[in-house]
Amino acid sequence: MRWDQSLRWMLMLSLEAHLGVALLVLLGFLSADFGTMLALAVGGSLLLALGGWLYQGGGRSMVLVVMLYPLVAVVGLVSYLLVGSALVAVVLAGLFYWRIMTVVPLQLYDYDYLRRFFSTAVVYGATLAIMAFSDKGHTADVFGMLAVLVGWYALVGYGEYLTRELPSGMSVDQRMLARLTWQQAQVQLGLTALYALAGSLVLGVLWGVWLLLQDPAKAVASYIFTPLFQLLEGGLAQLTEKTSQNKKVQDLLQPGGSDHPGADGSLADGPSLATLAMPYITGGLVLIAVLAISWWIWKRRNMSQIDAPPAPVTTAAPAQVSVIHPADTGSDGQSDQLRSLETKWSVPKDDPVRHTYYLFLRYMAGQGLVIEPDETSQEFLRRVRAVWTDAARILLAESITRVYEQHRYGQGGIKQEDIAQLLEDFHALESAP
Amino acid sequence: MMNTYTAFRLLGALFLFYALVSGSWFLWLFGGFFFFLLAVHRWWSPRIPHYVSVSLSAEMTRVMPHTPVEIRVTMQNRSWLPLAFARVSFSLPESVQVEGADEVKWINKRNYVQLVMQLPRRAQVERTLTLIPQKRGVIWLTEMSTEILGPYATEVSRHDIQAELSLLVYPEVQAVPPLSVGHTQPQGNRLSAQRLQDDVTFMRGIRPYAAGDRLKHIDWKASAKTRELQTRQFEYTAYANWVIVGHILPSYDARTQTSNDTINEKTISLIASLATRCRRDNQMYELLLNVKQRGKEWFHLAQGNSKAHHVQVMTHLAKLHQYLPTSFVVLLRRLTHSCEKSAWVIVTPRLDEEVLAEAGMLARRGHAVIVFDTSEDNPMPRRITPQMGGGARQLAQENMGTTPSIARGLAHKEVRRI
Repeated sequence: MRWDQSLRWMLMLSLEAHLGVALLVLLGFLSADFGTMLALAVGGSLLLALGGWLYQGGGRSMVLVVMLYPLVAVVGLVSYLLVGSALVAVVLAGLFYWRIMTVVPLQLYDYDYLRRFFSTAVVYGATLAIMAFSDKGHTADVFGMLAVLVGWYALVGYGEYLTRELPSGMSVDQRMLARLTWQQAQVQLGLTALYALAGSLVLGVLWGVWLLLQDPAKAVASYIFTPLFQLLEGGLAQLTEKTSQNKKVQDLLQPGGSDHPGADGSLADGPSLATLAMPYITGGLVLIAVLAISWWIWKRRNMSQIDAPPAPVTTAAPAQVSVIHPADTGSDGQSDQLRSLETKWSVPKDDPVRHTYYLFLRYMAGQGLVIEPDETSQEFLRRVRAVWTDAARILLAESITRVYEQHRYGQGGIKQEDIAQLLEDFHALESAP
Repeated sequence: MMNTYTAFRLLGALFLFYALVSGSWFLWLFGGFFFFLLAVHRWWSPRIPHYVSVSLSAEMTRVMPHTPVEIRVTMQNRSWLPLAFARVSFSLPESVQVEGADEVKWINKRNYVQLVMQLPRRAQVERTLTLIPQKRGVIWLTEMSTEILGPYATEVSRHDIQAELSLLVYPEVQAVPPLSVGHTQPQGNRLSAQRLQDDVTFMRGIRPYAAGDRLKHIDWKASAKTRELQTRQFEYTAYANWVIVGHILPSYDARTQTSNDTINEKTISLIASLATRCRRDNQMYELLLNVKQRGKEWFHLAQGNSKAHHVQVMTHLAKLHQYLPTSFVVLLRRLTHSCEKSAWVIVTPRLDEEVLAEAGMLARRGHAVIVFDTSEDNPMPRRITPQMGGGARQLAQENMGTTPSIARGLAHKEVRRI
């Protein structure tokens, strides 16, 4: 068997050692101490690897196979010393022998590793849950083991990929492989550190927001919900009083007698309902506030993406649009026209005349007059004259169109004074009421 | 089956729930880490074509069969992520022998080639493959697939990459015996009654004017000097008009339920051999095939013997796939209307009665007709001559370049077949 295939089952057995340690902690046979757990996981991995190597060496040497059995006995002895139970020690030794016999000859795939990792993480999660309910043990130790497990799985995943079946006869440059592994580790460590930094920052910011909003939200919640809770508590107290006077209900609730503590059903002994619910209500209010602010920011950002025309739309604009283009009465149609105008007119800014005329067309589009794709500047001007009634503005539009046409189609070029006049006219048109 | 995405989502949700209940910072970070892994993978996977590219180049793209061609496969990694054991795969026709690949698998009549590359970050690796095509055709190397490990070694990303390389493999050229017809013909071999023309490009000399000579060919200067009318004499319109006519059968004959690919390959190979022979002998020729081309009923390549013409012929023959054959007899029948005296070289795998009749018709029109029957193991040229006083079915064949006894035997065989 090649070295890469041996490495595959060694990695698998190491994950199973982690799983075994997690199960021992969950079942209470092992204290949830980080050092103990880590030492057992590493030691178990090494023992399993040694056992697998001995089992695998059977093809070459019979002595190696025989050496596997003393190793199983040693595992049983160590387990007894650690756990203190002969039955558990025998079971662990049997499991040790069984896993070696099963895993080593197997064809292992990536999802086999994933299943072991997932199971181990879930077992540690269950251990944490039990710790939280029973208030026993240090969760920090389990956190440490979880971090070790995830880091180890990243290495196992990489090793699993590298040891996948390669084409026969392919030579592997070991130095290059070591170099790539080092680079991969750098990328992983860098990304993890980045994540930890960014995640801590985000959590810190959220904690700050919470501290900032906690007191006002609590005051608001108390102001709104305390009377309600008092009302509810009053109703409940009355209900309790009535039920305590009713013998049938008492018999139904307490068939064995009335010695149970708190059987009178009084609510006055414990904390009030408002005290119990207030943290959750405060958190809910803060959450709603954060969501509302996020929604407002998102909406504002999205709205800003739609490039509005520079000039404010006058009140008469919709009527003008409806007169000229009866089909385009909706604002969506107008936005589409604006976009098509922008895509059609990609004017370089180093050409001031064309760029100013482009701005003029955008301004006109904002006014509800969008130039058609097959429309010339003169035809457009004619349409403007037909729609607008203000003679001063029409004169400005004529002047802009004249300079533009002179620049675009004329032979002799254009003077600087005309360009200045064009800009002046356009600004005058923009500022016109 | 659980995959990485499902497992990480479940674990992330589980630990985030614990974090929500317990308020532990570690659990917030730990649960979020699983989603971070997925996010990294989701970010990286679609960007692989941007960061990783594979390009192909070859020292030559037009080759003869059995010629080794070196292909350089260059893989570039522009990212900061090292790519260990990145796999590049593509497929080739089974007729292409591949050397230098890490793995070649034969699946569904195709060779699947795999290369395993090791790329450090921001580096490129070059591999060289040797392809040895065995059959004519076009070898497309345009679609390749890559298999690359992600940043956290949790899942493999597979992507298709478009490459731009194709190899044109010419048809196989075999030895063809020399053909002794269609050599330079003197003036006056036109079949029509039209007045014969000389080649006015090259003047041979002058002679005294005779009644009937064309007035425009009178050399007025010479007439003035000699004081009698002189007519220019030109070189003979001497060229050999060879036409190679190929008979392509349908790829699958539904009536006889037989596949004709092998026999067609043989026909195409013989046509290519004839074309190569013409090119070597500096012989002008046309090419006609009974396959549809651009709306026409047959494929026609104009006369020529230049290098470009030869390349064009060989390219067409190499790319002759997915063709739609038309009636070969109809093609021959239409050719009988040709007014140029030509040497017709007919390459057909079905030398049946109809083909022989049409060939005989061409021979009676004054053409020189040579037939190759590619259904034979070793096709040999046969001259078809019209039988004096006989019909189209009574044609004499003689084997060219063989002994008279063999020729008589072949002729006897043909007569018997008819």
